[in-house]
Amino acid sequence: MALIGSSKSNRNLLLIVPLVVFLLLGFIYQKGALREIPVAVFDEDHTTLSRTIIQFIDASPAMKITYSLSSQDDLTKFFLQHDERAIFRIPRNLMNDVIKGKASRVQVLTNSNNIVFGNILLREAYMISGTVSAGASIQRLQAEGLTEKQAFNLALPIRVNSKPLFNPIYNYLYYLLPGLMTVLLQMIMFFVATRAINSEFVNGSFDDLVEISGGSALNILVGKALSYFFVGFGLIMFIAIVFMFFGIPFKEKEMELILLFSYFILVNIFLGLMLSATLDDEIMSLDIAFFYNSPAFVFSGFTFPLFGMPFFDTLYAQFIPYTHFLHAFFKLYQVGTPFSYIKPELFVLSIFLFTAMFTAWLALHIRIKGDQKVKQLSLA
Amino acid sequence: MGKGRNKASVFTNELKRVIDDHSILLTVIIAPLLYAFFLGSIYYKKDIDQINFAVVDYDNSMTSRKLTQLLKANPKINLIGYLEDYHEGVEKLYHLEAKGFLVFPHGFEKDLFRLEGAEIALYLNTTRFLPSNDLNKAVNSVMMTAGSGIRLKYFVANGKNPQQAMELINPILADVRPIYNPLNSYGGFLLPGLFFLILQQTLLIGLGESVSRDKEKGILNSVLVEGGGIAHYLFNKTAYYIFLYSAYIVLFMAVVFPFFEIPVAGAIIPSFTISLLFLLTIMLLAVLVGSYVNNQIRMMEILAFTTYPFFLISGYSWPVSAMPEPIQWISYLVPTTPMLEAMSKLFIMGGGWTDVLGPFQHLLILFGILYVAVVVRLGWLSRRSKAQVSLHTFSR
Repeated sequence: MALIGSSKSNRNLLLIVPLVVFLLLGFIYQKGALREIPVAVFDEDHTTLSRTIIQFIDASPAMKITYSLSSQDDLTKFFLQHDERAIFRIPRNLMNDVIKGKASRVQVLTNSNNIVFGNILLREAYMISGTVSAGASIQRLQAEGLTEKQAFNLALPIRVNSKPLFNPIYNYLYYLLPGLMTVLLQMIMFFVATRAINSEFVNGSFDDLVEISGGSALNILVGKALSYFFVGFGLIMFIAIVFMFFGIPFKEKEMELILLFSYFILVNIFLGLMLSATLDDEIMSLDIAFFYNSPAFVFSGFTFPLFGMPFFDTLYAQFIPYTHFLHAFFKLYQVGTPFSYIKPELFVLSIFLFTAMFTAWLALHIRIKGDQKVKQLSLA
Repeated sequence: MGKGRNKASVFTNELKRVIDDHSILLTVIIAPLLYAFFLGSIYYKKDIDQINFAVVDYDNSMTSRKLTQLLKANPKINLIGYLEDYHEGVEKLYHLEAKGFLVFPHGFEKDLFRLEGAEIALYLNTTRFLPSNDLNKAVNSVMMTAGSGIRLKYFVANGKNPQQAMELINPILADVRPIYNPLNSYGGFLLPGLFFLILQQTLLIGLGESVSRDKEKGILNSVLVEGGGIAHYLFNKTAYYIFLYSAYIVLFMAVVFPFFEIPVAGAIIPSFTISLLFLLTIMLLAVLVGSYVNNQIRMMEILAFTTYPFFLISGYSWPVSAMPEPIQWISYLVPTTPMLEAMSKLFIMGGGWTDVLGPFQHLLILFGILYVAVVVRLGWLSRRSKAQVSLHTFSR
């Protein structure tokens, strides 16, 4: 514990990084959802129907009309020169065509180089055109003798009542911040443990460590792991505070989440210790830790699902504990399942844990025995 | 001739240093290409299909079965089976086996035929946005098509000829055209930003480590005091990286982007110039940060945690305007912000100089600020070292 406290690196990783990065990420997504995305309209019809469509666009909480195009505007370069993310182009003779019973199209050009905007605008465009189209259909059907209810039910014969569960308002803060914090938690715990043993070789304190531990590799590992676990637990509590600070709900699963997080950090501590016991070179072990951990987020299927990746990528993802932790975390934190539902993920995490424990123990045991042999030989 | 030889030795000096230090070697030589292809491969298909969903059919009618067949035929979604009831559907969601399930209620067909309004419920697992959005879109699209078919039958039955009926079924349609990302795909959106982030982070970490190591080993102070001063050190340090990362820019534009079918739509000269200015700015940032940390390992540890914040604060995925004002100020201080804006306009949207003047000026200002900061910082280190040397000589 004294070593952890006295190391500048550990202070950076365990104190400054979480404090600065976790809060910064939280503030970035504090708004949670995008509102009033600037859009432009190009009304070539100028009728009551086109004005109704424009009213619908402006009434949507997701969009705000900030520009009206005229024939002078260059549509091909519009998005390069303007901040608006979509153009709703209402064609000439729209109303006339609708009255004559001729289908017409409202063209919606979206600047989809950002998919977050692209998806919202796509959804809104279909919703608005669907609503206006249904309204026009209802009027025609009523004119043909149907009652208002019949006309409505024929205009929308099958209604899909979408019920988003677990994050019903599609809040980006609830979605992204927990994921980002947990992947950084993995990196932090892995990094600090990566230098726990080999730094003793470098600093020349390994012999003292062996002496304190009574020459037992297991004692060294348990002692080191416990001290890192203790500080890691502090980080878990900090994450809980960040959740509460930003009002992120966790389905009253506090105890289950604490258990899962504790197990997760233990896995990462032992993976770090395994590396540290195996490689004497601190920089090399840190390089490996960095290359192993930094793509964990994208490989976990968090933002882009595993089933959309090529086979080898999905295979590689299985060798990162974060992938399995994330499944379990989502089950508890967002879905709110009972603890028993995360057994499969805990089982996989256990494989990581015991493999890392055994390898670390073996490497350390061989090293201690080797050192003892060398000492005996030199004494003899 | 002599000057030319000097420059060549400056260049080879840093090259030797990179080769000698496996960490820097790994970061600036191997990582950029490895990461580009390794991480890029995740999004190779760019979009997702075969999203798992299930059906609870309480109606068990011909219509509900026909609609399920229509859903099954949609390549975006994959029917994993019929379920007994709502609770089994919830279980599937609990186990994250399905991204959603559809419930046809009792009397669905009857309500539909009597024009009494038929409703189906689609329960979505929104723990991840991409698959749930796509499933929602796919189901709605199939049901809209089915609804159009019903109206078509009604109009034909009421004396309209099929062509007239076709015109009447959807009086107004939305013709949505996602520009610059025609498939509205996640890969098409993320990959260009990811590639620049890879270049930025490997350069920042590699050069930052190299400067920290110079500080740790006293090389920085000795070059500043005896070896020709700040300009000499800066040139000495960055010349090799300028060459290497200029080559990367060309390689990424000529090979990596086309390999992943990402268009390089804009003019080449502004694209290269602004990318180079960006990398020079990152180099100054690396030198500045590195000059404060006199331990290579610590430097790596710190910079490893800048990747996510730099990317997320840049406004590439979440608009800067949606962030709180103090965070917006920080965002404008990060070179990633103007670079990714310029990259979008040049590479993806096919713009030219006039379209990226704003981000170019922004980058130029950041370059200027960082240059002054580096000169002040190295000047201070140089003066301090000289003072220490004189004190040491005096005390002797």
